[in-house]
Amino acid sequence: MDKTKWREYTLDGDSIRVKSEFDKDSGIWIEEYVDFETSPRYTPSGHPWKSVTHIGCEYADPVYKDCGTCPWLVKEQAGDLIGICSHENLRLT
Amino acid sequence: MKYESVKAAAERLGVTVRAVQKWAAEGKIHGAQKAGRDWLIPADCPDPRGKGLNNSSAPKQEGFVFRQALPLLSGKFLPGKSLEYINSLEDEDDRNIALGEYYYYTGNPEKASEILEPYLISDVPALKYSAELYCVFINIALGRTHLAKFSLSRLYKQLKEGFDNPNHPIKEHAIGVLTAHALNALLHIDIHEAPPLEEYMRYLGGGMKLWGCYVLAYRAYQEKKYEVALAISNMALALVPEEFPIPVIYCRLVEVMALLGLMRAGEAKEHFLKLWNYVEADGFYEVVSEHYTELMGIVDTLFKKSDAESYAKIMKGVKVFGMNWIKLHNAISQREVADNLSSTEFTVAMLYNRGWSAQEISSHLDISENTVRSYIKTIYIKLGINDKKSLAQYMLK
Repeated sequence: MDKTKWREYTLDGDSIRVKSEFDKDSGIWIEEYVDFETSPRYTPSGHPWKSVTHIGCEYADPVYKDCGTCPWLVKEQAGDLIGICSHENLRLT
Repeated sequence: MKYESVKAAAERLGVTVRAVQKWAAEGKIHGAQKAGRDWLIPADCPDPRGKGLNNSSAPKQEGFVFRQALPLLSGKFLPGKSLEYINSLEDEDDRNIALGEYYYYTGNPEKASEILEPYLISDVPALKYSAELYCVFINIALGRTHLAKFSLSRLYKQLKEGFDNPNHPIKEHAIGVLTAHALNALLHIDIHEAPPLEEYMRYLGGGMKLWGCYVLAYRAYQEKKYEVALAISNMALALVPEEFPIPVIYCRLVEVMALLGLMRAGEAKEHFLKLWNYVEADGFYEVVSEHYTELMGIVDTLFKKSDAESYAKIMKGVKVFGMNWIKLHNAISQREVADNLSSTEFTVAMLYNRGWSAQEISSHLDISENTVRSYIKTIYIKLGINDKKSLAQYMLK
């Protein structure tokens, strides 16, 4: 079985290719994302890419304080672990 | 007469094969036939429990029936002298129960099971109760989740009968109340309503009183009242002499857990090293294994690199107890705790769920922030979630 596969995430005019590797111990495919905290990335219109595990900003859910629970995080598919922050105040202008 | 195998009888009666063999050998199963090295058990034989073991020399005293329950847990002895204490017990059944407790706490659940299971049919409540309580945890440690569940239901039945009996001696009643609360706390369940423990603390003896304080502190910890948990443990340890090593370990463990809840990791590590002297003195590693997940990385950071021997002793219990406990919990409660994470993933998930940042987790566990983020990502994938709100549903309260 091929142990590597790729997926392209496209949001707000920007695309990211993410590699997945099959973890035989857990029997699941694990995607290798770019760490957007140490290497920020923005879409052409200035929206930042975020991981659901990012610590949220002042606009995040006050209880859980993560990007995953934040209504401003837009994902390509519902279960994705990365997306872009759609809040206008955080857009790079 | 129609016969069945020992295995079939064990399944029907909800005990281990070993227990059925022992009962058959002792003549407690009427009509059992020896066949080679094994036994044939009459298929319609009644459950021997309730007929009485009648092997106790302890007198049945009204009002003091539970006096000798859990003799090691409630026992007063110097650290490192548990075996001397057990040998000093005058009553043979008390010695046996205490030895069973000793084997459980020192990580030998098989031996503990062998000693304690015959007491499941004792007609002395204190002996039966002690055996029932330990069999819940022994069966978890042995991966016999179905038997643990069965032991638990029998124990609850026994407790309920006590609560419903207006003539129940008060000291016996107090032990029952403590047990119900202890089970709810230790197994993170809330399926048995018991009278408030606070009202019965005064009727408990020294060691049991200290264990009762542990249960109260643990409950406060689970309600995220970390300062309260810390205060109860501190006061209990200050007021009750530290001559009851097992409850002292339990109380000190809650101190460590509460300090972690307050994100005072440095103090938590110092407190853990204090309780470690008690653990090592008698080899009571199982008490630490029981609380491994809530010690959230303390065991790993203190021992994984510097004391591989101690680490192995604790992890031996964690590997079986940890996952089997979660299976039992998920089978009997409405909440589902994650059972597909490795011990490190579970630790990271617990800390992250409690509000620790990746940087704080990295500093506490002595791993890089990138590794922490990688763990969190894997946890999310394994649990099929994508936000912290969903993570909370799979974690311990």
